[in-house]
Amino acid sequence: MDARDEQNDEQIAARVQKGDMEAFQILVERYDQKMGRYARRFLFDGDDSKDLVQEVFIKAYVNIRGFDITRRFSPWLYRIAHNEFVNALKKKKKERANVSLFDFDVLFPHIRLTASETADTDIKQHELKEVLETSLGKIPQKYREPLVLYYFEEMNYKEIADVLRIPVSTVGVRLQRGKVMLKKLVTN
Amino acid sequence: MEQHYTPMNETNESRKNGRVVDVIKKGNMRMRPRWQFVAQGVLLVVAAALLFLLLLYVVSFIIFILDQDGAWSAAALGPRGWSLFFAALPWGMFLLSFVLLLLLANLLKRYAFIYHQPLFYFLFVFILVTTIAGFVIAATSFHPGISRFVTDNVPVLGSYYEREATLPASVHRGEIVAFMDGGFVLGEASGATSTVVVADGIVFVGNFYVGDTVLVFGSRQADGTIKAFGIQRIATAATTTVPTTTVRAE
Repeated sequence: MDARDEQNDEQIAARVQKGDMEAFQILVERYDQKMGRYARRFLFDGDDSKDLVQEVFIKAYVNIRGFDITRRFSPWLYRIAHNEFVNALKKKKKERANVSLFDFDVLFPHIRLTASETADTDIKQHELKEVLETSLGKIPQKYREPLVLYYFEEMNYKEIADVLRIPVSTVGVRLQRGKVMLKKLVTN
Repeated sequence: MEQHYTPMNETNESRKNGRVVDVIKKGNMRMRPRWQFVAQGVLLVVAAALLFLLLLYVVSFIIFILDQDGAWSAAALGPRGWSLFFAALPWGMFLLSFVLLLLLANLLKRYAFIYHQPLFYFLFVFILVTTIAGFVIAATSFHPGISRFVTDNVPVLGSYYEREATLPASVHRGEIVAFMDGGFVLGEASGATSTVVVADGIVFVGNFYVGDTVLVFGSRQADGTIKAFGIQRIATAATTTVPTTTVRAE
């Protein structure tokens, strides 16, 4: 392995900020598959997602001097991807892209979940991933995205909150509701 | 020549299958310089600060004019006072302050310290802070100073400060000219005088002086007298000598 590849994302981003364009390719290679997977699960459109992922990387490059290297690179890149994909959904009007600041669960995430929402959602991790893969399209984007970021991209609540710019507690609420939706899909 | 970044342009085909770095090189795309991000951040903070100051101004203005109208005192006078209080509320200003608050939330939502917490907390804290600060500002000479200047010089803003014309029909502002049995004579801004009689069963305990500026809450009778169910002093007489009387009706 190239010694340069052992550097973490933030160190590589710092090099790119200083003008090392080739270092950016390392970041592209590290995240290309992840971004492609994220795009497909977000958009369900193979052709578009390829173009959009490239757009994400180009935007990341153009704006990389706005990245704070004391923070994690991954949520920053996913945030760019999120914006790009949401815009793509808006253009297609395929479904309502939920990015409202004044969503009820952003305003009051601490409001208790209903009994059906707190029902047992104890699905095994691998089962849940399988169900997610097959049923993602049936779940609204608002709940789909936290599920994808949590189960496939293995982000924690705070990182998901940073990508979606929503309260950490809202992440929990959406994950729980998403899991309930999945469970209903499984039982039906 | 340097190409400014344009998303999804006609070079899409050439991008496909190429290394992203090659596409960037081919398109001669450049990183945005750091100063642009710094300037953007500074502009955002300045805009948020200006919005916050405007919000403070509007909230303190609302509190100031409610005080001028005697609406706070009206609210303490029971159900009849509450209706006066709600009638005196400047709803347009309330709406404006709410819009300013939402604009501020929208402007600051990119910061983690804002979006990590439920939006409700942000709104609650800002409403609390601006209300407290609004009361503090309203108690200073800030608004009276502006009022003196804008009433004659600034048409639109001046009319907002000139609240006499907008007082509800059952609120009368004036100066105590003389006392009489069970009431007093009120000298109004128009130069006219009205007799104020205190409604039966209403008790006002407190010293009033000739020359005090007061708000009288009560309806005007057919004979022109005002039947007061509440009186609020909003300015004491310029020269307070001996208390002339205690207004009392039982």
